[in-house]
Parts: sequence; structure tokens; C-alpha cells
Amino acid sequence: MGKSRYIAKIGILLALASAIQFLESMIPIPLPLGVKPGISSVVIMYILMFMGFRPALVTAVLKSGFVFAVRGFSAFCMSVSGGVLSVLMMGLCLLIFRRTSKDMGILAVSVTGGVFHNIGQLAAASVIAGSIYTISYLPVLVIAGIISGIFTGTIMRILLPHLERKNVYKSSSERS
Amino acid sequence: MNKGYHFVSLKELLIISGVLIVSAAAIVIPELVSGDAEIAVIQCGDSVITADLSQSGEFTLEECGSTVFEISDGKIRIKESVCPDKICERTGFIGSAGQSIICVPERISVTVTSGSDKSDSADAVVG
Repeated sequence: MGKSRYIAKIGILLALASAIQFLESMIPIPLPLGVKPGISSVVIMYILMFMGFRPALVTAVLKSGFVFAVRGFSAFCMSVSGGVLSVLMMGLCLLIFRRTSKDMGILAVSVTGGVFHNIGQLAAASVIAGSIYTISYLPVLVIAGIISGIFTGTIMRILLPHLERKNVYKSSSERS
Repeated sequence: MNKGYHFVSLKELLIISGVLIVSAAAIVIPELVSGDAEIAVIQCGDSVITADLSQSGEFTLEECGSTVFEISDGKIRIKESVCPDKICERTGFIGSAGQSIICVPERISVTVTSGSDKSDSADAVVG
């Protein structure tokens, strides 16, 4: 894949992730703590699996930039903290799968991402609100992260064979 | 040929279930152990205000902007907030010791404790 093609692809995926996230934020979900299914993380997971760790991290940060434009600074802090931690831990998860030379478990990666996304957001919220009592939300958010991870992992599982058919996997393994 | 991926293995499923059970226990056990809260500690930015949960009614605090708090039946909630996402409003009433409401954009947190073991409340939450 040429460089301009590569950049264009990241741009399209970034737009896709931001659009999904924006649409999701418009659907009012009657859950406390602003818990969301986080479907846009499917896009991040795709980038991580097929294009590598760095583009995934870049996309996550840029997606938070979109949050900053739409929802302001405190939302940006929470988004970037959740997004970056999520990508870091999903990357670690993939690395462990590679090192142990087993094939990757999609659900393990997506659940890790979901849980650590929420942990990152909670950490940022604690700092912004200046309160350690936010830790009482931790168990609820871990469970929410697991559920959201199962949701996004299932979507990823359904999509993967179709992505492979288009030879995306092959072109990415040449890169990495 | 190996596909290069699988959905979930038994080992992974066990780890996920384990985390789920621990988290569920961390929610349920403190609820059972801790009694009803008696006071609410309201933190707005850098100022800390304590409210008595036995006195029902609505009030606003100078330090907290135009946020409206409501105490009813030994429980407290944020009734109205100027924040954009209204997450704190949706949290609803809290009344058992250790629970809290956080409004991140406005930097407001409300934590209810049983007064007597105020210093222990954080531990009770972690369980």
C-alpha cells in the first residue's frame, strides 16, 4: 500500500469512527453514567488488527479531537484517556497472543478494550472532578465495559470473514 | 490453514467471567454491608460542603453555580445541572453509604456517608 493510499485509508476510517460515535451519542440510552455500546471501537480494533498499533493510537487520539470540537475540553480529556488506554491494552493483548504464537481471541481483545476504555475515562473523571470517590463507579463500569466488549467483539467476529475476503489481512501482514 | 483468529476460548471465557463475578460482588457486597447514609459531602471545585440527609427539600449552593440538589427520604440527587450531558441527573437518588454522584463538566461530586465512619467510607466502597 502506497503512502498516500495509507493516509487516505486512515482518514476514511477516522471519519467512520467519528460518525459512528456521533450517531451513538444522539441516541439517548437510559443508563446511568452515560454508558454507551461504543461501536466505534470496532473501527479502532480493525485498524489495530490489520494496520498496526501506531495508526490505531493515532486514530484514537484524532477521534478525541473530534470530541473536543463537538463536546468540549472535559469530554476530550475523558475521551483521550479512555481511547489511549484502550488501544494500549488491546495492543498488549494482541502482542501476548502473538508471543504465545496462538491465534488471537477476538472477544478477549474487544473486552480488554471495552473495560480499559471505561477505566481510562473514570481515571480522567476522577482527576477533573478532583474526587477519589469516583472509584465507587469502577465495578459498574468494568461490567459495562465487558458487555460493550462482547457487543463490539461479536460485530468484529461477524465482519472479519468479509474483511479477509477483500484481502485486507494479507496486505496488512506485508506491512507488519 | 489456520484462520489466525478465534472468537473466544474457554480460558478467555473463564477470565472474563471471573472479572465479571468480582465486579458484581464489588457492587452487591458494599450495598449489603453499608447501612443508610446520614450525611452528604458535596464537593464543588475546591470547596466542600456537608448536608444533612434527614432534612428534606431542595437547595442550591453558592459554590456550585446553579446546580439544584434535592434531599428526600434520606436520599440525595442532583435535580438540575447546567452540564451538557446530564449524566449526574440521570444517576438519580443515592442513599446508601459510599455511593456518589459525579458531574465531571461542572467538577461537582456528591458522596453520601453514614457520618460515624466517614474516614472508612472509601474502603467500604472498594469492598
